Amino acid sequence: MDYALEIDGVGKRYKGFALSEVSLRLPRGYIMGLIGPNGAGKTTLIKLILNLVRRDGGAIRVFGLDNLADEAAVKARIGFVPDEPRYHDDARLGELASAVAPFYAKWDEGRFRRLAGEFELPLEKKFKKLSHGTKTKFALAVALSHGAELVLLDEPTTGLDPVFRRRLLDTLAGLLQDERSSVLFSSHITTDLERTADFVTFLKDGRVVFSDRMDRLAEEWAVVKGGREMLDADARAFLQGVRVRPHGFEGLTSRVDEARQRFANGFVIERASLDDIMVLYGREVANDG
Amino acid sequence: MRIVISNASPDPIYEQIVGQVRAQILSGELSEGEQLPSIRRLARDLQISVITTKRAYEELEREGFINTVGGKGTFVAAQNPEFLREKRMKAVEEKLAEAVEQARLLNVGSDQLVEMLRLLYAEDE
Amino acid sequence: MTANGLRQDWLQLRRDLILHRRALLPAALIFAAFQVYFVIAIQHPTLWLVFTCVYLSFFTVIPPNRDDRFGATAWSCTLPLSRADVVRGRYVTGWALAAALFVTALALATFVPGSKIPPAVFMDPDRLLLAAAVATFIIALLLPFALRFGFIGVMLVAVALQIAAALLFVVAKITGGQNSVEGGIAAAFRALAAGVAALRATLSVPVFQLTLLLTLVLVNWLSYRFSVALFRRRDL
Repeated sequence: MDYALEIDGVGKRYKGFALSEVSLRLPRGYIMGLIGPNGAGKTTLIKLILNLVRRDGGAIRVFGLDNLADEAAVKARIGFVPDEPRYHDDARLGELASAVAPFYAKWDEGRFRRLAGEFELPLEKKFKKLSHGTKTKFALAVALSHGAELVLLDEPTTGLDPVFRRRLLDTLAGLLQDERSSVLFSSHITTDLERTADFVTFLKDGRVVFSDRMDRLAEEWAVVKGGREMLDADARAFLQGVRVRPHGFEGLTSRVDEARQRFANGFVIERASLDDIMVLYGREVANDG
Repeated sequence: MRIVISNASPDPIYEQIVGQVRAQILSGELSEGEQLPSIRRLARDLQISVITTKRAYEELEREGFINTVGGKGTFVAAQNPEFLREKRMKAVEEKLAEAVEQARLLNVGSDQLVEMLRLLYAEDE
Repeated sequence: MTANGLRQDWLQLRRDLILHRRALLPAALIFAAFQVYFVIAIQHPTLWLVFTCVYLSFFTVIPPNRDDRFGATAWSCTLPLSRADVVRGRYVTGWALAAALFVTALALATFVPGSKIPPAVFMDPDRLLLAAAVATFIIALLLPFALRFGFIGVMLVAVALQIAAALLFVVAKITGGQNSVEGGIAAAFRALAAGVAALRATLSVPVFQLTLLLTLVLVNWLSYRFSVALFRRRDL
């Protein structure tokens, strides 16, 4: 199996937060969504891949190469769109691009120009004068113009209008046509990933809750709904997260077949969306109101 | 090839694709030897994941409706309509056998079962 | 030094010149204007040399500081470069800037009418080595801290240097016995120069000069390795 990205038991400690034992694998040619609430460690994980922060343990391999031992070779093949693109305020977009273009052996100036046109980038404008959305589009144009085989995007859709969000997803899908390029896309807005992600990794409090194929997820995770009186201690122990409301409860389970047997009558069992999983997982609230 | 995905449907997306392609092949809308879009092309056009289209095509190939020729693409397989009909008839027969068994357990007689069948046919129209 | 490494250093220099020119050019003009005044006003060519080299050495931290200010350091680290490559690029760009400014000072000292700096100053290997030593001293101190701590690092070094200068001044006052600041500092440097001259007399002149040059290269290299170690630990 040809993997674009292999993360094995990686950890990173900060004051008050730690990423621990994170592992995931992204085969070549697919999109993986990285979901989780704010502060779960998604940005840290992406920074670890790029060695922007020092890891405290574990290993990271990109296209089979160690991301530290072969740092430059790995980065030549990675495109990165940060959540807060920051470049030199007084530089024009065109200058920023021409400053870094020669670093990449596979830089395609024609493609950059085309993307800049498509995204309507004002290449003559200075960076500080741009909106967050335009800055993100610029970062994306650069990331896609040097033949990157792994594109990392950190919360790219915040600040983008819905029209461009669709175009972004379409552009990424276009990337995958060659069956060699892969995408890792972190977002706390799960609707973007719901349909288009092939794999998804759910991070919470610095740990991986699951990392799996999307279709397997759809088959195994479900939301159980029922009246409040039907939620006994047994049920609570079985569910992986529960939210109680005045009119009833919502529970999350990763074992839908078992759930179907256990909660046979009077319950509604539905496929869990990514949003359901993110909201309900680990939740134990007495009363929501 | 015409595929319409419904988000509201309880069926998973890959099943919807399988169902629609199968129907179009059986009805003759998709003719033998016709080329289907690649799984990635289809994923992009429908704005869904590659894993989903891959699964749909794998299922269709398993059922004998399509063939993937490495390097060339995916094509509608030669369909033997008699054979296909026979296969689906067999599936109907199996389902009916199940119903009969369940009915026996409940001590439901064959007349009652036939009546139920008639009602169900009427319902659909 | 690989061919690829050299190419990377050149690309980093090019990038720094493109992206920092709006700050570097005005700063260079101010430097030049100050030089025009300085070469006329100064009495001691050696003193001029030392102050000029201190001044131009601070230019080396302009690119890393500006990158930090704009939060663009992380961007450099997403390019196809290792941390060590990025650091090496800083040193190369830094020294290139220092050299360019030195040549500018040289030209002004030679051509500005009324300049008290005789051209002979630049033909003298000892004076050139002194210039390189001063620049090395400042750059070797500044860059590691600028790379690790950003602008704060530079401030720390600047403050430390000022304290050292103040101490030097006090020492000069005591030993020099003169009231003028310039005289006091000159006396301190004379003492240093005397020590160096003694060493120079012991070894033959070319050997001394070569040894000094190699020592400076070694100091730069040690500073570079230190910077790499510090920069590798920095979370961006």
